[in-house]
Amino acid sequence: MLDHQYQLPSNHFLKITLNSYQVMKSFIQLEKNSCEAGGILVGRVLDESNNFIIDDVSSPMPTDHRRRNHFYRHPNGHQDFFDKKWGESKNTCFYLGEWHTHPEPSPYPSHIDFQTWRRLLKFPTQNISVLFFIILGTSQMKIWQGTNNNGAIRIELVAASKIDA
Amino acid sequence: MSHCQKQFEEFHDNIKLSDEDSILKEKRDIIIERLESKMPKDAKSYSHFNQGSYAMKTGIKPLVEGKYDIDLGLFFDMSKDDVGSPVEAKKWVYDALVGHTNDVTMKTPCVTVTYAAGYHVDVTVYAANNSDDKVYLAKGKLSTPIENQKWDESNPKDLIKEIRNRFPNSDDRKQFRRIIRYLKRWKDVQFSDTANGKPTGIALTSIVYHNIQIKTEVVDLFSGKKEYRDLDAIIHVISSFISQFTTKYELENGEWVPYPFVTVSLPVSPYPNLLEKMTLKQLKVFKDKLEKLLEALEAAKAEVDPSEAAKILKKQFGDSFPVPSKDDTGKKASAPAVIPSSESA
Repeated sequence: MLDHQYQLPSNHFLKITLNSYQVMKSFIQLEKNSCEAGGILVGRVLDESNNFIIDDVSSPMPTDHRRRNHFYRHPNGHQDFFDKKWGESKNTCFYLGEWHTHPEPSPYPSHIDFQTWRRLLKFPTQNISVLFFIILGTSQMKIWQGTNNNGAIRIELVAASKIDA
Repeated sequence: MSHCQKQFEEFHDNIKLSDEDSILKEKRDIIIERLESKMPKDAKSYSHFNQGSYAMKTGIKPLVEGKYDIDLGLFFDMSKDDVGSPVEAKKWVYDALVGHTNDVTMKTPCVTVTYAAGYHVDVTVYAANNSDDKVYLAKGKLSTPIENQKWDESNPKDLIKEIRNRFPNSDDRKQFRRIIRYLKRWKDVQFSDTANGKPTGIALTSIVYHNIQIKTEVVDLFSGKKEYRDLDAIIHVISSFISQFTTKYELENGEWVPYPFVTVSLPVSPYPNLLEKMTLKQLKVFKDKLEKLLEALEAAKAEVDPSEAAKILKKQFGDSFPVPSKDDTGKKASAPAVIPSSESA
Protein backbone atom coordinates (compact mmCIF):
# COMPACT_ATOMS: atom_id res chain seq x y z
CA MET A 1 0.00 0.00 0.00
CA LEU A 2 2.66 2.50 1.00
CA ASP A 3 5.37 1.07 -1.23
CA HIS A 4 6.35 3.15 -4.20
CA GLN A 5 5.52 6.56 -2.89
CA TYR A 6 8.19 9.16 -3.53
CA GLN A 7 8.57 12.74 -2.35
CA LEU A 8 9.38 15.15 -5.18
CA PRO A 9 11.59 18.27 -4.97
CA SER A 10 8.41 20.36 -5.00
CA ASN A 11 7.33 18.47 -1.84
CA HIS A 12 4.55 16.87 -3.80
CA PHE A 13 4.34 13.10 -3.93
CA LEU A 14 4.41 10.52 -6.68
CA LYS A 15 2.76 7.15 -6.15
CA ILE A 16 3.23 4.17 -8.46
CA THR A 17 0.47 1.61 -7.97
CA LEU A 18 1.56 -1.91 -7.19
CA ASN A 19 0.02 -3.19 -10.40
CA SER A 20 1.97 -0.68 -12.53
CA TYR A 21 5.19 -1.55 -10.75
CA GLN A 22 4.64 -5.27 -11.28
CA VAL A 23 4.00 -4.82 -15.00
CA MET A 24 7.26 -2.87 -15.42
CA LYS A 25 9.18 -5.25 -13.20
CA SER A 26 8.11 -8.25 -15.29
CA PHE A 27 10.21 -6.86 -18.17
CA ILE A 28 13.53 -6.32 -16.38
CA GLN A 29 16.42 -7.72 -18.47
CA LEU A 30 17.69 -10.51 -16.27
CA GLU A 31 18.60 -12.92 -19.11
CA LYS A 32 21.59 -12.44 -21.42
CA ASN A 33 19.31 -12.24 -24.46
CA SER A 34 16.35 -10.29 -23.05
CA CYS A 35 15.52 -7.13 -24.96
CA GLU A 36 14.68 -3.62 -23.81
CA ALA A 37 11.02 -2.97 -23.07
CA GLY A 38 9.00 0.13 -22.38
CA GLY A 39 5.67 1.88 -22.42
CA ILE A 40 3.72 4.91 -21.32
CA LEU A 41 2.74 6.04 -17.81
CA VAL A 42 -0.91 6.89 -17.30
CA GLY A 43 -2.56 8.28 -14.19
CA ARG A 44 -4.08 11.03 -12.10
CA VAL A 45 -3.16 14.50 -10.85
CA LEU A 46 -4.96 14.68 -7.51
CA ASP A 47 -7.48 17.38 -6.83
CA GLU A 48 -6.85 17.71 -3.10
CA SER A 49 -3.04 17.81 -3.20
CA ASN A 50 -1.68 18.07 -6.77
CA ASN A 51 0.13 14.81 -6.06
CA PHE A 52 0.62 12.34 -8.91
CA ILE A 53 -0.46 8.73 -9.16
CA ILE A 54 0.69 6.40 -11.93
CA ASP A 55 -2.33 4.10 -12.08
CA ASP A 56 -1.42 2.15 -15.22
CA VAL A 57 1.51 1.50 -17.54
CA SER A 58 1.40 0.04 -21.05
CA SER A 59 3.58 -2.88 -22.17
CA PRO A 60 5.55 -3.24 -25.40
CA MET A 61 3.28 -3.60 -28.44
CA PRO A 62 3.91 -5.91 -31.43
CA THR A 63 4.92 -2.97 -33.66
CA ASP A 64 7.50 -1.66 -31.17
CA HIS A 65 11.14 -2.26 -32.07
CA ARG A 66 12.99 -4.16 -29.33
CA ARG A 67 16.75 -4.86 -29.19
CA ARG A 68 19.19 -5.67 -26.41
CA ASN A 69 20.25 -2.03 -26.06
CA HIS A 70 17.56 -0.16 -27.90
CA PHE A 71 13.80 0.33 -27.78
CA TYR A 72 11.60 2.24 -30.19
CA ARG A 73 8.02 2.76 -29.15
CA HIS A 74 5.42 3.58 -31.80
CA PRO A 75 2.26 5.45 -30.79
CA ASN A 76 0.28 2.49 -32.18
CA GLY A 77 -1.28 0.35 -29.51
CA HIS A 78 -0.17 2.72 -26.76
CA GLN A 79 -2.70 5.29 -28.01
CA ASP A 80 -5.41 2.60 -27.82
CA PHE A 81 -4.22 1.75 -24.32
CA PHE A 82 -4.54 5.40 -23.30
CA ASP A 83 -7.92 5.85 -25.00
CA LYS A 84 -9.34 2.89 -23.12
CA LYS A 85 -8.20 4.30 -19.75
CA TRP A 86 -9.47 7.75 -20.76
CA GLY A 87 -12.88 6.35 -21.55
CA GLU A 88 -13.14 4.75 -18.09
CA SER A 89 -11.85 7.77 -16.19
CA LYS A 90 -14.40 10.63 -16.52
CA ASN A 91 -11.62 12.69 -18.10
CA THR A 92 -9.25 12.40 -15.17
CA CYS A 93 -6.61 10.40 -17.05
CA PHE A 94 -3.28 11.98 -18.01
CA TYR A 95 -0.28 10.86 -20.02
CA LEU A 96 2.40 11.16 -17.33
CA GLY A 97 5.56 9.96 -19.07
CA GLU A 98 7.59 6.94 -20.14
CA TRP A 99 9.23 3.87 -18.70
CA HIS A 100 11.82 1.48 -20.16
CA THR A 101 14.38 -1.10 -19.12
CA HIS A 102 18.19 -1.23 -19.25
CA PRO A 103 20.43 -4.33 -19.15
CA GLU A 104 22.59 -2.87 -16.34
CA PRO A 105 22.13 -3.18 -12.56
CA SER A 106 21.87 0.54 -11.80
CA PRO A 107 20.46 2.33 -14.84
CA TYR A 108 21.86 5.53 -16.34
CA PRO A 109 20.01 7.39 -19.10
CA SER A 110 21.67 7.38 -22.50
CA HIS A 111 22.09 10.39 -24.73
CA ILE A 112 19.12 9.16 -26.77
CA ASP A 113 17.01 8.86 -23.60
CA PHE A 114 17.69 12.48 -22.66
CA GLN A 115 16.99 13.64 -26.20
CA THR A 116 13.63 11.88 -26.23
CA TRP A 117 12.68 13.17 -22.78
CA ARG A 118 13.49 16.78 -23.76
CA ARG A 119 11.39 16.41 -26.90
CA LEU A 120 8.42 15.02 -24.94
CA LEU A 121 8.64 17.86 -22.44
CA LYS A 122 8.87 20.45 -25.19
CA PHE A 123 5.58 19.40 -26.78
CA PRO A 124 3.20 18.68 -23.93
CA THR A 125 0.04 16.91 -25.02
CA GLN A 126 -2.40 17.72 -22.19
CA ASN A 127 -1.24 21.13 -20.95
CA ILE A 128 0.74 19.40 -18.26
CA SER A 129 4.18 20.75 -17.41
CA VAL A 130 5.46 17.69 -15.54
CA LEU A 131 6.42 14.25 -16.88
CA PHE A 132 8.08 11.28 -15.24
CA PHE A 133 10.69 8.99 -16.74
CA ILE A 134 11.38 5.62 -15.20
CA ILE A 135 14.24 3.28 -16.05
CA LEU A 136 14.41 -0.20 -14.55
CA GLY A 137 17.86 -1.73 -14.43
CA THR A 138 18.30 -5.29 -13.25
CA SER A 139 18.55 -4.39 -9.56
CA GLN A 140 17.50 -0.76 -9.32
CA MET A 141 14.65 1.43 -10.51
CA LYS A 142 15.28 5.14 -10.99
CA ILE A 143 12.75 7.92 -11.52
CA TRP A 144 13.42 11.28 -13.13
CA GLN A 145 11.08 14.21 -13.10
CA GLY A 146 11.01 16.54 -16.09
CA THR A 147 9.43 19.98 -16.00
CA ASN A 148 8.72 22.55 -18.65
CA ASN A 149 8.53 25.92 -16.97
CA ASN A 150 7.50 28.25 -19.80
CA GLY A 151 9.99 26.66 -22.12
CA ALA A 152 12.75 26.15 -19.54
CA ILE A 153 13.25 22.41 -19.48
CA ARG A 154 14.68 20.72 -16.43
CA ILE A 155 15.20 17.02 -15.77
CA GLU A 156 16.28 15.71 -12.39
CA LEU A 157 16.61 12.38 -10.67
CA VAL A 158 13.99 12.21 -7.90
CA ALA A 159 14.17 8.63 -6.64
CA ALA A 160 16.13 5.42 -6.81
CA SER A 161 14.88 2.24 -5.25
CA LYS A 162 15.94 -1.38 -5.08
CA ILE A 163 13.93 -3.78 -7.19
CA ASP A 164 12.78 -6.48 -4.78
CA ALA A 165 13.31 -10.06 -5.86
CA MET B 1 -0.17 12.30 1.94
CA SER B 2 -3.94 12.53 1.85
CA HIS B 3 -6.08 14.68 4.13
CA CYS B 4 -9.51 13.56 2.87
CA GLN B 5 -11.04 16.85 4.09
CA LYS B 6 -13.81 16.56 1.51
CA GLN B 7 -14.66 13.06 2.69
CA PHE B 8 -14.52 14.07 6.37
CA GLU B 9 -16.97 16.93 5.76
CA GLU B 10 -19.30 14.65 3.84
CA PHE B 11 -19.05 12.14 6.70
CA HIS B 12 -19.99 14.94 9.09
CA ASP B 13 -23.06 15.84 7.02
CA ASN B 14 -24.04 12.17 7.06
CA ILE B 15 -23.89 11.75 10.83
CA LYS B 16 -24.77 15.09 12.41
CA LEU B 17 -28.10 15.60 14.05
CA SER B 18 -28.89 19.07 15.28
CA ASP B 19 -31.11 20.31 18.04
CA GLU B 20 -33.32 22.07 15.52
CA ASP B 21 -34.18 18.74 13.95
CA SER B 22 -37.96 18.41 14.04
CA ILE B 23 -37.80 14.72 14.98
CA LEU B 24 -36.13 15.57 18.28
CA LYS B 25 -38.28 18.63 18.93
CA GLU B 26 -41.53 16.70 18.43
CA LYS B 27 -40.50 13.95 20.80
CA ARG B 28 -39.38 16.42 23.43
CA ASP B 29 -42.56 18.52 23.11
CA ILE B 30 -44.73 15.47 23.82
CA ILE B 31 -42.94 14.95 27.14
CA ILE B 32 -43.08 18.65 28.00
CA GLU B 33 -46.85 18.71 27.48
CA ARG B 34 -47.31 15.54 29.50
CA LEU B 35 -45.31 17.05 32.37
CA GLU B 36 -47.37 20.24 32.26
CA SER B 37 -50.69 18.43 32.47
CA LYS B 38 -49.76 15.72 34.96
CA MET B 39 -47.25 17.27 37.35
CA PRO B 40 -48.50 16.67 40.95
CA LYS B 41 -49.97 19.70 42.75
CA ASP B 42 -47.34 19.71 45.50
CA ALA B 43 -44.43 19.90 43.03
CA LYS B 44 -42.38 23.10 43.02
CA SER B 45 -42.48 25.25 39.90
CA TYR B 46 -39.91 24.47 37.24
CA SER B 47 -38.56 25.44 33.85
CA HIS B 48 -37.34 23.03 31.19
CA PHE B 49 -34.34 23.21 28.85
CA ASN B 50 -32.64 21.06 26.23
CA GLN B 51 -29.79 19.15 27.66
CA GLY B 52 -27.20 16.76 26.35
CA SER B 53 -25.33 16.54 23.09
CA TYR B 54 -27.97 18.17 20.90
CA ALA B 55 -27.88 21.29 23.05
CA MET B 56 -24.07 21.31 22.83
CA LYS B 57 -24.32 20.93 19.04
CA THR B 58 -22.40 17.69 19.20
CA GLY B 59 -25.28 15.28 18.56
CA ILE B 60 -25.06 12.48 16.02
CA LYS B 61 -27.59 10.23 14.38
CA PRO B 62 -27.99 6.91 16.15
CA LEU B 63 -26.30 3.99 14.41
CA VAL B 64 -29.50 1.99 14.80
CA GLU B 65 -32.33 3.74 12.95
CA GLY B 66 -34.62 5.65 15.28
CA LYS B 67 -32.74 4.85 18.48
CA TYR B 68 -32.56 8.45 19.66
CA ASP B 69 -31.29 9.39 23.06
CA ILE B 70 -33.05 12.63 24.02
CA ASP B 71 -32.31 14.64 27.16
CA LEU B 72 -34.64 17.04 28.91
CA GLY B 73 -33.52 19.00 31.97
CA LEU B 74 -35.88 20.40 34.61
CA PHE B 75 -34.69 23.28 36.82
CA PHE B 76 -36.93 23.35 39.88
CA ASP B 77 -37.13 26.72 41.52
CA MET B 78 -36.10 25.51 44.97
CA SER B 79 -33.10 24.75 47.12
CA LYS B 80 -32.18 21.16 47.83
CA ASP B 81 -33.40 21.70 51.40
CA ASP B 82 -36.89 22.66 50.25
CA VAL B 83 -37.77 19.04 49.55
CA GLY B 84 -37.53 15.97 51.78
CA SER B 85 -35.15 13.97 49.57
CA PRO B 86 -33.77 13.78 46.02
CA VAL B 87 -36.08 10.87 45.18
CA GLU B 88 -39.09 12.79 46.50
CA ALA B 89 -38.38 15.47 43.85
CA LYS B 90 -37.80 12.86 41.16
CA LYS B 91 -41.08 11.20 42.11
CA TRP B 92 -43.04 14.31 41.03
CA VAL B 93 -41.65 13.75 37.56
CA TYR B 94 -42.02 9.99 37.71
CA ASP B 95 -45.69 10.28 38.77
CA ALA B 96 -46.38 12.72 35.93
CA LEU B 97 -44.85 10.40 33.36
CA VAL B 98 -45.73 6.91 34.55
CA GLY B 99 -48.24 5.28 32.21
CA HIS B 100 -47.22 7.52 29.29
CA THR B 101 -45.56 4.48 27.73
CA ASN B 102 -45.31 0.91 29.00
CA ASP B 103 -41.77 1.58 30.13
CA VAL B 104 -41.13 4.47 32.51
CA THR B 105 -38.36 3.88 35.03
CA MET B 106 -36.55 5.89 37.63
CA LYS B 107 -32.82 5.43 37.10
CA THR B 108 -30.22 6.87 39.43
CA PRO B 109 -29.48 10.07 37.46
CA CYS B 110 -32.84 10.54 35.67
CA VAL B 111 -36.36 9.33 34.86
CA THR B 112 -36.39 7.46 31.57
CA VAL B 113 -39.38 7.14 29.24
CA THR B 114 -38.80 4.42 26.64
CA TYR B 115 -40.93 4.20 23.52
CA ALA B 116 -41.77 1.04 21.60
CA ALA B 117 -40.22 2.66 18.51
CA GLY B 118 -36.83 2.25 20.20
CA TYR B 119 -35.97 5.73 21.39
CA HIS B 120 -36.04 7.11 24.90
CA VAL B 121 -36.16 10.44 26.71
CA ASP B 122 -34.10 11.00 29.87
CA VAL B 123 -35.57 13.63 32.19
CA THR B 124 -33.24 15.04 34.85
CA VAL B 125 -34.26 16.91 37.99
CA TYR B 126 -32.27 19.79 39.46
CA ALA B 127 -32.57 21.99 42.52
CA ALA B 128 -31.63 25.27 40.87
CA ASN B 129 -32.08 27.93 43.52
CA ASN B 130 -29.54 27.39 46.31
CA SER B 131 -27.91 29.83 48.72
CA ASP B 132 -24.44 28.80 47.46
CA ASP B 133 -25.48 29.65 43.86
CA LYS B 134 -24.79 26.08 42.77
CA VAL B 135 -27.11 23.73 40.95
CA TYR B 136 -27.69 20.19 42.21
CA LEU B 137 -28.81 17.06 40.38
CA ALA B 138 -31.20 14.69 42.20
CA LYS B 139 -29.81 11.14 42.28
CA GLY B 140 -31.46 7.96 43.44
CA LYS B 141 -34.00 5.32 42.43
CA LEU B 142 -37.41 4.61 43.94
CA SER B 143 -35.83 1.80 45.93
CA THR B 144 -32.75 3.73 47.08
CA PRO B 145 -32.73 4.19 50.88
CA ILE B 146 -32.74 7.86 51.81
CA GLU B 147 -29.20 7.76 53.21
CA ASN B 148 -27.86 6.68 49.78
CA GLN B 149 -29.73 9.29 47.77
CA LYS B 150 -27.67 12.29 46.73
CA TRP B 151 -27.68 15.84 45.50
CA ASP B 152 -24.72 16.05 43.11
CA GLU B 153 -23.29 19.42 42.19
CA SER B 154 -23.81 19.61 38.44
CA ASN B 155 -24.72 22.57 36.29
CA PRO B 156 -25.66 21.41 32.80
CA LYS B 157 -26.13 24.98 31.58
CA ASP B 158 -22.52 25.81 32.50
CA LEU B 159 -21.37 22.72 30.64
CA ILE B 160 -23.34 23.59 27.52
CA LYS B 161 -21.91 27.12 27.62
CA GLU B 162 -18.36 25.84 28.15
CA ILE B 163 -18.54 23.39 25.24
CA ARG B 164 -20.26 25.83 22.91
CA ASN B 165 -17.73 28.57 23.64
CA ARG B 166 -14.54 26.50 23.56
CA PHE B 167 -13.19 28.66 20.71
CA PRO B 168 -14.00 32.30 20.00
CA ASN B 169 -13.81 31.80 16.23
CA SER B 170 -16.93 30.19 14.80
CA ASP B 171 -15.09 28.18 12.11
CA ASP B 172 -12.65 26.84 14.73
CA ARG B 173 -15.66 25.88 16.83
CA LYS B 174 -17.06 23.96 13.90
CA GLN B 175 -13.88 21.92 13.55
CA PHE B 176 -14.01 21.22 17.30
CA ARG B 177 -17.58 19.94 16.99
CA ARG B 178 -16.80 17.89 13.88
CA ILE B 179 -13.98 16.10 15.71
CA ILE B 180 -16.35 15.30 18.60
CA ARG B 181 -18.95 13.89 16.22
CA TYR B 182 -16.37 11.76 14.35
CA LEU B 183 -15.16 10.28 17.61
CA LYS B 184 -18.68 9.57 18.86
CA ARG B 185 -19.59 7.74 15.67
CA TRP B 186 -16.26 5.87 15.86
CA LYS B 187 -17.27 4.73 19.35
CA ASP B 188 -20.71 3.54 18.18
CA VAL B 189 -19.10 1.54 15.36
CA GLN B 190 -16.16 0.11 17.30
CA PHE B 191 -18.15 -0.77 20.44
CA SER B 192 -21.30 -1.87 18.61
CA ASP B 193 -21.25 -5.36 20.13
CA THR B 194 -20.42 -4.16 23.64
CA ALA B 195 -23.11 -3.38 26.18
CA ASN B 196 -20.87 -2.16 29.01
CA GLY B 197 -17.55 -0.47 29.31
CA LYS B 198 -17.93 2.06 26.54
CA PRO B 199 -16.75 5.62 27.07
CA THR B 200 -19.78 7.94 27.23
CA GLY B 201 -20.48 10.68 24.74
CA ILE B 202 -19.65 13.35 27.31
CA ALA B 203 -16.35 11.60 28.12
CA LEU B 204 -15.38 11.69 24.42
CA THR B 205 -16.54 15.30 24.17
CA SER B 206 -14.33 16.19 27.14
CA ILE B 207 -11.35 14.30 25.67
CA VAL B 208 -11.63 16.46 22.57
CA TYR B 209 -12.20 19.58 24.69
CA HIS B 210 -8.97 19.01 26.66
CA ASN B 211 -6.74 17.83 23.80
CA ILE B 212 -7.76 19.67 20.65
CA GLN B 213 -5.56 21.96 18.62
CA ILE B 214 -7.19 23.60 15.62
CA LYS B 215 -5.45 22.34 12.46
CA THR B 216 -5.41 24.17 9.15
CA GLU B 217 -3.24 24.28 6.06
CA VAL B 218 -2.39 27.34 4.01
CA VAL B 219 -3.54 26.44 0.51
CA ASP B 220 -2.71 29.74 -1.19
CA LEU B 221 0.54 31.42 -0.26
CA PHE B 222 -0.44 34.71 -1.90
CA SER B 223 -3.78 35.26 -0.24
CA GLY B 224 -2.92 33.21 2.87
CA LYS B 225 -6.15 31.27 2.37
CA LYS B 226 -6.46 28.43 4.86
CA GLU B 227 -8.41 25.21 4.86
CA TYR B 228 -9.26 23.07 7.85
CA ARG B 229 -7.53 19.70 8.18
CA ASP B 230 -9.74 17.49 10.34
CA LEU B 231 -7.47 14.46 9.88
CA ASP B 232 -4.56 16.37 11.47
CA ALA B 233 -6.80 17.63 14.27
CA ILE B 234 -8.10 14.18 15.21
CA ILE B 235 -4.58 12.69 15.03
CA HIS B 236 -3.48 15.36 17.50
CA VAL B 237 -6.39 14.69 19.88
CA ILE B 238 -5.87 10.93 19.93
CA SER B 239 -2.08 10.94 20.26
CA SER B 240 -2.22 13.62 22.95
CA PHE B 241 -4.82 11.65 24.91
CA ILE B 242 -2.98 8.31 24.56
CA SER B 243 0.17 9.94 25.95
CA GLN B 244 -1.68 10.67 29.22
CA PHE B 245 -2.14 7.01 30.14
CA THR B 246 -0.19 5.80 33.16
CA THR B 247 0.12 2.31 34.66
CA LYS B 248 -1.95 0.97 37.51
CA TYR B 249 -1.42 -2.47 39.09
CA GLU B 250 -4.17 -4.82 40.08
CA LEU B 251 -3.79 -7.96 42.18
CA GLU B 252 -4.96 -11.00 40.18
CA ASN B 253 -4.48 -14.54 41.59
CA GLY B 254 -1.71 -13.29 43.84
CA GLU B 255 0.12 -11.44 41.08
CA TRP B 256 0.31 -7.74 40.33
CA VAL B 257 -0.89 -7.19 36.76
CA PRO B 258 -0.22 -3.84 35.05
CA TYR B 259 -3.10 -1.97 33.38
CA PRO B 260 -3.19 1.30 31.47
CA PHE B 261 -5.00 4.00 33.43
CA VAL B 262 -6.26 7.47 32.63
CA THR B 263 -8.83 9.97 33.86
CA VAL B 264 -10.87 12.57 31.98
CA SER B 265 -12.41 15.44 33.88
CA LEU B 266 -15.63 17.25 33.06
CA PRO B 267 -14.65 20.78 31.94
CA VAL B 268 -16.89 22.42 34.59
CA SER B 269 -17.27 22.25 38.36
CA PRO B 270 -16.99 19.88 40.16
CA TYR B 271 -14.75 18.36 37.46
CA PRO B 272 -15.63 14.67 38.08
CA ASN B 273 -13.65 11.89 36.37
CA LEU B 274 -15.88 10.79 33.49
CA LEU B 275 -14.17 7.41 33.09
CA GLU B 276 -14.69 6.49 36.72
CA LYS B 277 -17.20 3.73 35.94
CA MET B 278 -14.88 1.91 33.52
CA THR B 279 -12.94 -1.01 34.98
CA LEU B 280 -9.21 -1.40 34.34
CA LYS B 281 -9.96 -4.12 31.79
CA GLN B 282 -12.43 -1.86 29.99
CA LEU B 283 -9.91 0.98 29.98
CA LYS B 284 -7.40 -1.39 28.39
CA VAL B 285 -9.88 -2.28 25.62
CA PHE B 286 -10.54 1.44 25.10
CA LYS B 287 -6.82 2.20 24.83
CA ASP B 288 -6.24 -0.70 22.40
CA LYS B 289 -9.00 0.63 20.16
CA LEU B 290 -7.60 4.17 20.33
CA GLU B 291 -4.18 2.87 19.29
CA LYS B 292 -5.70 1.06 16.32
CA LEU B 293 -7.54 4.26 15.41
CA LEU B 294 -4.34 6.31 15.57
CA GLU B 295 -2.49 3.75 13.45
CA ALA B 296 -5.25 3.91 10.81
CA LEU B 297 -5.35 7.73 10.85
CA GLU B 298 -1.61 7.89 10.30
CA ALA B 299 -1.70 5.24 7.57
CA ALA B 300 -4.45 7.21 5.80
CA LYS B 301 -2.42 10.39 6.05
CA ALA B 302 0.68 8.67 4.63
CA GLU B 303 -1.27 7.23 1.69
CA VAL B 304 -1.01 9.38 -1.48
CA ASP B 305 -4.23 8.10 -3.05
CA PRO B 306 -7.25 9.65 -1.23
CA SER B 307 -9.44 6.82 -2.48
CA GLU B 308 -7.22 4.26 -0.70
CA ALA B 309 -6.93 6.54 2.35
CA ALA B 310 -10.72 6.77 2.62
CA LYS B 311 -10.97 2.97 2.60
CA ILE B 312 -8.67 2.85 5.64
CA LEU B 313 -10.78 5.51 7.42
CA LYS B 314 -14.05 3.78 6.60
CA LYS B 315 -12.92 0.72 8.58
CA GLN B 316 -12.65 2.92 11.67
CA PHE B 317 -15.62 5.27 11.20
CA GLY B 318 -18.09 2.90 9.56
CA ASP B 319 -20.19 2.94 6.42
CA SER B 320 -21.17 6.62 6.66
CA PHE B 321 -17.59 7.54 5.75
CA PRO B 322 -17.57 8.00 1.96
CA VAL B 323 -14.97 6.39 -0.29
CA PRO B 324 -14.53 8.37 -3.51
CA SER B 325 -13.97 6.43 -6.69
CA LYS B 326 -10.54 7.02 -8.24
CA ASP B 327 -12.15 9.15 -10.97
CA ASP B 328 -13.53 11.51 -8.36
CA THR B 329 -10.11 12.28 -6.90
CA GLY B 330 -8.31 13.51 -10.03
CA LYS B 331 -8.22 16.79 -11.89
CA LYS B 332 -10.07 16.87 -15.18
CA ALA B 333 -8.00 16.98 -18.33
CA SER B 334 -9.30 19.28 -21.06
CA ALA B 335 -8.61 16.70 -23.76
CA PRO B 336 -7.27 13.17 -24.14
CA ALA B 337 -3.53 12.79 -24.75
CA VAL B 338 -2.08 12.31 -28.20
CA ILE B 339 0.55 9.69 -27.46
CA PRO B 340 3.92 10.54 -29.04
CA SER B 341 6.52 8.02 -30.17
CA SER B 342 9.63 7.55 -28.09
CA GLU B 343 13.08 6.13 -28.52
CA SER B 344 15.33 4.86 -25.77
CA ALA B 345 18.66 3.13 -25.48
